[in-house]
Amino acid sequence: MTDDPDAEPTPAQRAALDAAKAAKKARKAQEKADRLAAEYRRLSSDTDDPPADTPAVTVAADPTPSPATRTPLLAAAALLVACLAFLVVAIVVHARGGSDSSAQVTPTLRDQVLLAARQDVVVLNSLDYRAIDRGLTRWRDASTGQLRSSFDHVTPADRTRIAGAKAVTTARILEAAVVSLDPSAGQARIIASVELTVTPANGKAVVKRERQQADLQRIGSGWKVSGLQQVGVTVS
Amino acid sequence: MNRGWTSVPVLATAALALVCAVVASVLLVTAGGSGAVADPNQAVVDRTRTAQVIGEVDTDLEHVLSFDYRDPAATRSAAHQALLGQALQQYDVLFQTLRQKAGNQHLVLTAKVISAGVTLLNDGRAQLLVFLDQTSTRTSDGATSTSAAQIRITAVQRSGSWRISELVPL
Repeated sequence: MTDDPDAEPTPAQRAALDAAKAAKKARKAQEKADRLAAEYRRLSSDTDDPPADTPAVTVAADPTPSPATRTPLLAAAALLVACLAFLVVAIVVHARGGSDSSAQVTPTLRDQVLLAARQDVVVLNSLDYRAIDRGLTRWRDASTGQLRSSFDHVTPADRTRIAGAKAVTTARILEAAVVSLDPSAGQARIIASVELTVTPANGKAVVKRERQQADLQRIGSGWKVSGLQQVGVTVS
Repeated sequence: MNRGWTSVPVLATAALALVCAVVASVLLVTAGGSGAVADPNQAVVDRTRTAQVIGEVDTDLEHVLSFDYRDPAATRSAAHQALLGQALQQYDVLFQTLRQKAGNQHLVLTAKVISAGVTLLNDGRAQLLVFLDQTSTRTSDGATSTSAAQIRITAVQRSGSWRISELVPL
């Protein structure tokens, strides 16, 4: 590493040189301004009535309003205006997107409804005669509205009958599909192909397949069944 | 000059501008309906196409699964228009037995879709669950019975229209 004065300066060196030159120039300009200010002060103090204010001095001492130093502030202000405009556009887009998404079905919402429906329909089709209370609690947890309140009217006679049947019913969803989904109303309808296995305490299990239709309602952040029915054949 | 770019008002204004830009970007990113584009399954999401595939599959199924002993060819030609691949092979086997039976018993089958939902819908393929009632009438003695069917359908799109490629009774 030698300091050869004849060598071609590297870009970095050139930049440093330029910076030094600029700094020197600025210093000179400042000195000139100071000199002028001092001259003005001297001249004005020579007069009999001193100036009420000294605008020239202020101008020279505070470089802000000079055209050269005002450029950065103008550029920054222009940038701020542009960014504010961008922000306004973004707020409008965001607001519109938000209102759209409340009326539009997203894949996430569809999957959420279908998953909740599958789980709830299984629960509402399952009952163990040895644990009727637990079964009824689970039915209530999976349902809402009229369906839920119908479970509140289970009489002791109903319990005796269920217990007397001595059967355990389990359910499995073979296939389920969303038929309609209204996000703004918080309502959905699904259909499901349900396989039911009824196992009596003494005897062979019976497997049957049912077509079922469930209406769901959004409760808080989840979905619950407000109506469940078997889709029987239509006799015309 | 140098001091102008680093003065407090300039820096403050620039910082404010930066904050605006960042907030605006965040708003734009969160506005883009989460995952709406990422999921290729547009079942229910794309209402128009969902309704279209249900409409076409329903009509096809009702034609294909209806049968009149007086005009067996009608069902057969409907099947060859609506079905593809495996579904068509299954149908041809079924059609042969049906034709033999139907002639003797004067059989009329009428299929009616009760409810249908789309479980999968992407570019050229769809899957549906269809509830269908099939009524058979023996015109020889007037006996009628209706059975409840539940079918999983796979459909593929060929030059704009949907054709059934697989038909699985559940």
